[in-house]
Amino acid sequence: MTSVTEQTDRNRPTGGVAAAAPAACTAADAAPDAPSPAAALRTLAVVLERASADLLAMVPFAGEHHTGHEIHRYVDEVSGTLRSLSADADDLHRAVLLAQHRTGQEH
Amino acid sequence: MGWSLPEPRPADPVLGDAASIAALGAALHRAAADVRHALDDLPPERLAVRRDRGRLAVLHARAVPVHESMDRTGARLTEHASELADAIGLARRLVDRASEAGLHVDGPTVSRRQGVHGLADPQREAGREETLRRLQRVLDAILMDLDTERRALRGALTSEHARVRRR
Repeated sequence: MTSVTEQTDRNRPTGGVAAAAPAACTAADAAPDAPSPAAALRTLAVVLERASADLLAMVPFAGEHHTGHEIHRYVDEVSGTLRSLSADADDLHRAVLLAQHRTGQEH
Repeated sequence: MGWSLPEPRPADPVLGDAASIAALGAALHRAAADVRHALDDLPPERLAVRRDRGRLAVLHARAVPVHESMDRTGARLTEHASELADAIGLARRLVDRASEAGLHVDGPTVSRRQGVHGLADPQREAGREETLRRLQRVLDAILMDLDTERRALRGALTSEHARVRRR
C-alpha cells in the first residue's frame, strides 16, 4: 500500500501533477508549507483509506457473543463509510486536477 | 495397556481479551485524529471551482460525524477494556482462593472437587461449604457487573452505529 507521504510527495508543487497548473489555487495556498488543494485531497483520500484498513485489521475479542457482534458491526460500518468517503475524496482529487489542467491549458 | 483421557480444562469465569479491546479503542482514536487533521488542512474555500467547493463541503459534512463517533467509541472501548481487565483479574484471584480452599471454578460455577479428598471432617466440610457459597456470591457479583457494563457498551455501540450508517 502506498504511504501517505509517498502519495503526498507525488503531488507536491515541486514536480507532481498538481504543480502543472498552480493558477487554479486560491489565495489560501499562499500560506508557507501548505500543501496544494490537490495534494491535500489526495492525502485525505489516503488517510481515509488507511483508517478503514487499519480498523478492519483489528481483532477484538469481547468474550461475549452479543457484545462482540456489536463491536464488529460498528467497525464494519465505520470502515465502509471511511472507504466510501475515501472514494469521494479521490474523485474530487481527480476533478481538481482536471480543472487545474484545463486552466493551465487556457493560459 | 491402560490409558485415560485427561480431565477437560475448566472454562475461565470471565472470557475476553482486554488488550485487544483497548487496541481497537486506541486505533479508533488515532484514525479519528488523522481524519480530523486531514480535513482541517482542506477547508472547502481552498478549492477554486465552485462545484468542487460544494462537493468538498458535502464530504466535510459526512466525515465530521464519523470521526466524532470514532473518538467517542474509542474512549468507550478503552473504558470497557479497563472494566474487562478488572473483572478478569478479580475472577483469577477468586479461582486461586477457590483452589486453596479445595474448590473448583468452572465457568460461572464454584463447586466442590469431585472424588475423595482426605478423611471426612464435618467441621472442615462445613467451612468449605461456607467458603463455596461466599465465593459463588462474589463470582455472581463480578459477572453481573460485567454483564451490566457489556449491556451499556452494546447500547452505546448501537447508537453510534446509527450515527455513522452510510446513507
